[in-house]
Order: sequence, then structure tokens, then C-alpha cells
Amino acid sequence: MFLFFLAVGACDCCVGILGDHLQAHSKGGLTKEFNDLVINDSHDILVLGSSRALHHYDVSYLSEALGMDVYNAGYKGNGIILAEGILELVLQHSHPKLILYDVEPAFDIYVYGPDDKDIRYLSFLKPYYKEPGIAQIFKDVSPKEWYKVHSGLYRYNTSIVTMLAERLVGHKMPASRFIPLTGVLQDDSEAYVNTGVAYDDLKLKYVARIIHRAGSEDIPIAFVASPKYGMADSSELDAIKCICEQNGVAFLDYYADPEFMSHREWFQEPVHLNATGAKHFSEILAKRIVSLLPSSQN
Amino acid sequence: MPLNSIHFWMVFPVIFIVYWLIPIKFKQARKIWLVLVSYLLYMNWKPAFALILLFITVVTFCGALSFDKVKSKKNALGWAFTLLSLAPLFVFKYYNFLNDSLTSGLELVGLHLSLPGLNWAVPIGVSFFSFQAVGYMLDVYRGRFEPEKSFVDYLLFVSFFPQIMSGPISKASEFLPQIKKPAPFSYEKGKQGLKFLLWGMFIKIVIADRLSLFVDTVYSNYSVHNGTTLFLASVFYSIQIYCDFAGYSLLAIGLAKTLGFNLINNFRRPYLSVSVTDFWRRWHISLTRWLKENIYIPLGGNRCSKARCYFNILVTFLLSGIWHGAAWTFILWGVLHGIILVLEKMAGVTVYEGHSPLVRGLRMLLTFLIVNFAWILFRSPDISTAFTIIGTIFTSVGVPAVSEMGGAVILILAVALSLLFFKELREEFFPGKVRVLDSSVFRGFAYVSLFCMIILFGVLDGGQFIYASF
Repeated sequence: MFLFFLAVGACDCCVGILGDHLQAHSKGGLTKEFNDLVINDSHDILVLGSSRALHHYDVSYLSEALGMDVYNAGYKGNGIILAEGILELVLQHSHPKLILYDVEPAFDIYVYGPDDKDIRYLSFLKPYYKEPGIAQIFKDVSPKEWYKVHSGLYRYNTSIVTMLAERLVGHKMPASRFIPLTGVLQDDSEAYVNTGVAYDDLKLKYVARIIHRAGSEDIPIAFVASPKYGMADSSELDAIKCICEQNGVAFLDYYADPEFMSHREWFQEPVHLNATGAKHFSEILAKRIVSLLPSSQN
Repeated sequence: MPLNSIHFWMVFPVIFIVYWLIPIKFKQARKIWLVLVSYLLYMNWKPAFALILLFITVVTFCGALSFDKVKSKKNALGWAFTLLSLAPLFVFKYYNFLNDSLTSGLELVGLHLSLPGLNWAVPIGVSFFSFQAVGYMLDVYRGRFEPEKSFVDYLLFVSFFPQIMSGPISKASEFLPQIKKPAPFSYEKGKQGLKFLLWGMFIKIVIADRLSLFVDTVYSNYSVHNGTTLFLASVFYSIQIYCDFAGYSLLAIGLAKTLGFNLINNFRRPYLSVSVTDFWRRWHISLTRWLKENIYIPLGGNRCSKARCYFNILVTFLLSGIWHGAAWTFILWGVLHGIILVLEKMAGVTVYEGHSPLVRGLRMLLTFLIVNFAWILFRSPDISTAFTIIGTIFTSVGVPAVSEMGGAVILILAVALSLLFFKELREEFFPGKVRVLDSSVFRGFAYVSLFCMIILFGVLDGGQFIYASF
């Protein structure tokens, strides 16, 4: 038994060391992309959020229109908890001029389904658990998670295979982190509306926390509700609107924008715009966010 | 509390240490400790439902004692106690289904009648502990087993925490004697238990939970996938439900062994069956045995006319379908299996005694495909969805959407499924062969590797066991 646990302990240490090395010296793929974002690179405007951020914000267009380097840091299936972690890491080495946060109620306001566990938003942050600010996120989400993440096997659960493949095969890096979607919404199906779903207090706490964190560094932040097809209004975002109002933060609401609601062909499916929709949205947004930039406020 | 949860594994060392610290001469204290732990773990979900567990325990305990004392009208008494002990199962699990079916049926003939529905959750494991308790009572009724006099022993028999959620459904003749005479601590038995735990965890967390991510995604959006993807999802579901349920059974058996108890093995490589009849000798063995002893044989079994025997099979599998869930999909699934068993019996192909590996292999493949298509009914929310999926499988061939799983997951699954496949094949066809695999060095390496793979490749925030909801 002793030998068994000794061997498991040794494996745990080895995997931890290997994972930390692969993470720090990644040569391609999502690992390098994320590592560069949070450790090395500096960007003028940071777009945070879920897949809706990833597919809706045409950063090439925005960069050109605003004359600034805009980076899309939207991650599929993620929301405010990961975004706060990203911001904590980014602020250790850079100082963006503006932060845009794209809102998705399922990831930022409500409990996402009966099996929603906020620990799923910590996956990307596990390798950085020792960094200032990140430990607190682990402790807030689940104190047990904070202890578990010290295990190398747990920390690199599943991701070690991807990291090894990226290292061995050397995945290419995409030119931009904006991923336009193809296809057109075929019928009049509408997005799911979170009515009668319980609030996730931790997510709402993190909405306030990210506002305060950006504020403490004098970085303007704006919350943006990009369009969802079939929405009658944006009342399901009231909780975030209220926090923004209390903190004097801009809330740019296109959630049920009539122009988008009348163009089904701009959507791939109710929750995501396709490439055409994203282009229209980015054009509208570029004009609007000029006023949010520090230079325009002086 | 699910046996795969981190909370359970934080509590279990305490349960284990306290149990074995109580000297064997205080065996009553050991039993009370296990009863207390079992009830507390059960109450961790919904405390009030422990009353249902206690109710069924008291009714079956009293029922068995009364059969011993009352000589006249025993038959009526037997029915009364059986119906009373199954009442919670009917009310919680089947009331809404019967109500909805009755309402829909009456509406077809123009009558509008609706009874109020029950918005209650089904007590977890109610089908399992109800059947275990009723099985004991019927054994006493038929004179196969003496009624238990110690209520504490019987409480532990019904509520023993490793098996309460998803079985195995133990027979009183196997389990109660072990409770009455607790075994002293055995290092060998403990080690054996840990091996069961390790393999059970591996197939549940690494295989079943990982496959479920793909299966759930495809089944919840079946209309956007081609037939090849749907077929792949159906095959993955067949493997998922096996690894999920067999994984749970191994955890239950392993935990029981570490506490000195032996439980029945619930699975014996079911997907290597040569017929559907053979499949049911290897799948959920404890339920099949319960149905055989308490439904099939009392109906006449096979010691009657052929027609009557076929009828008995159909009724038994109809009830098996109903036991699995209160929905028409489960009922049709049960009836379908019954029909196939009858057809196999008529054709005389229930077993294969030949020596041709090709014929055996083809029969195994055919059996797997039949069982696989039946699982589509089992997994689908309704019958029309199931038929749509089956129809799409045969009409829309395309590239399977495996890339959605990601390269890392495909690689992990390929390794894990190869291990499962190799282990099952070796146990079925080459037991004791490839001696190097039995060496202590290799075994030590295998146990460490399995443990590391569970943490490194498992879905660690995976959910409930599928069978826990039955």
C-alpha cells in the first residue's frame, strides 16, 4: 500500500512538472495562445466573454476602424469567472486602454442548468493557480478545488494530452482569434430565455468584482449585450444592468436590437451571429466604443 | 450520496476505520454503526425519503414475521404485504405515468378526466431496495428462508449503503448470514475490494462519463446529425450504460469487500454474448435473478406448454421494462427484449456450442447490434424520437462528427476502450493465459497506472449514475 501511494505521488509530481513545462514553453495551439495572452502580450482593447464574444467581434475590422490593437479573448462555454481570472493575469504585465465584456446570461447571471458547477470555469486557470489573484478565485468557487489543484494529475486532467500533441505536432496559430461562423438560421426558432432560473450569486459577485478590478487600474470597462435572435427585450439581463448602473459603467444593449431581429440571415443559430451578422455588429460597435476610449473622454 | 463523489471518499475512510476499530465481540455495535452511516448517507440527498426506506423495511420485516405465525389466509396476507411494500414504488415512480396515460387514453375516446399530478422526486434507489426487501419477504413466504428476528440485522440488509442506490439486489440467503456473523478483518479481502474499486472507478469516470459528453450532445440535438453520427452515439451509449452501471456495481462490491461482505457480481461481459438470451444471463444478473425467481417461475417458468412459456417470458420482460422506468420507451424496450427471447427460444439459438470463432464472432456482433438498437429506445425521451433516430441511421450516411470530441478525448477514449476490450476478451476467452499479466510487478504497475489515469483522464466533475434514477 505504501509503495502504491509512493508511486502515485511520484507520478503526480512528474505530471505536474511536465505540465508546467509544457504550459510555459508551449509552441502552438490554444495553450500558447492563452499563455501569450495572460503572460506575454499587451493589447489596447481586450474583448472578454464566451463563444458569443469569439464569434461576434471581428477584431481585424475593429483594430482597423479604431486604429488600435484589439484582441478577442472570448472562450467557448466560459464567462465572467474566467474573464476575471484573465484580467488578473493580464494586469500583472500590461495595461489595456479598454475592456469590453460580452454578456451571456447563462454564464454571467444565472445557474446554467441543473448540473452547473462553477468549477468548470476554472479549467484554463488551473496552471496559474499560484499567481496573485487566481488563488482567491479558486477559493471563492470551491475551497476544495484550491487543494485539489495542487495535484499535478488533477491540474493537467485531459489537457496534458492536448499540450503534448501541440508540442509534438506543433499546431499552427490562427491569424486572429475572431472565428466567423458560416451558415444561416433556417427557421424562426428563438434563443432560450432564462425565465424563472435561479441567480448564480457568485457570477454576479464577479461582475461587480471585474468592474472594481478594472476601476482600480483606471481602465474603462463596458458590458456589451450582442444580439440574440428572437429576443423581445433584454429584461433577463436586468441584474447586470443594475450592477453597471450602480458602478457608472456603460452597458451597450443590442440584445434585442430591432435591426438584428429583422435579419434572420445574420444569424447562424439563435445565440450566434454568422460572419455577415458579426461584420454588421462590429461596424455598429466600432462607432459606439470610440466614445468609451480614454482619449475621447479628455 | 453518489459513490463516485469526492464527498463520499472524504467520508469513507472514517466509516472504514470506525467499523474495523469496533472489536468483533461488539458485533451489534458494528451493525448499528453501518445502519447509522447508511441512513445518514441516504438522508444526504433528501432526508424525508429515509422514511420511505424505513417504511418498506418495517412492512417487509413484519410481513415476513406474520407469514411464520399465521397459517390461514396466508395467500391474502402475502398479497397485502407485497402490495403495501411496493406502494411507495408505485406512488412515487408510476403514479404520474399512469395518470398521464389514463388521461390521454380517455381523451382519445372523448372523455376528459384529469387527476392531480404529483410533483415529487422519486426516492433514489427505491426500485432497488424495494425489490431487495420484497424478494426477502417472498422467500420467507415460500418457505425458502427463515424470517429474520433481529430488526437491526434486517435494517442493515435493506439499507446497506454500497448497494442502496443501484444494487446489486441481494438475496437474503446470501447477505443476511454475512450480517449475522460479521467476518474478521481480512487484508486479502480488503485488497481485492480495492481492485474492484479501482476498475469500477476507471470504467465509470474515464469511459462512461467521457462518452456521455458526446452521447448527450448528439442525442439532445439528434435532428442536426447524420445517421452515421447517430449510430456512433448509439454504440457509445451502449458502452456508456455498461461502464456506468457495471462501474457502480464494482464500486458497491469493492466497498462491501473492504467491510468484509461479499455481494453478487452483477455483470459478466454482457457484450460478448452470443444471443440476447445469453445477454440477459450476463447483464444486471441480480435483477434477472429476482425476476426469474419472483415472476417467471411463479408464472410457470418453462415447465409448462411452449405457448405458456413464451407468455411467461413476455410478461417477465414487460415487467422488466416497467421496472426500468415509467415511460412507454422503457415498456417497449422490455417487450422488444421479450419478443427477441421468445424468437430465439423458438429458433433454438439461445446458446452456441460450436467451436467456430467466426460464427461465434458474428453472433456476438449481431447480438450487440440488436441490444444496441434496443438501447436507442431506452435512451430516447419518447418513442417517436427513437424511431426518428433509427430511421435516420438507415437513411442518412455521412461523416461522423467525432471531431467535436477533440483529438485529446479521442485518444483517451481509444486507450481506455482498448484496455476494457482487452480485459474482457482475456477473461472470456483466455483466462489465466498471458501469465506475465499476473506477475506482481505488472499488477503493481497496472494499479498505479489505473489510479493515475482516473485522475488524469477522468471526467472528475461527472454526474450521477444512470441506474440511480431507476
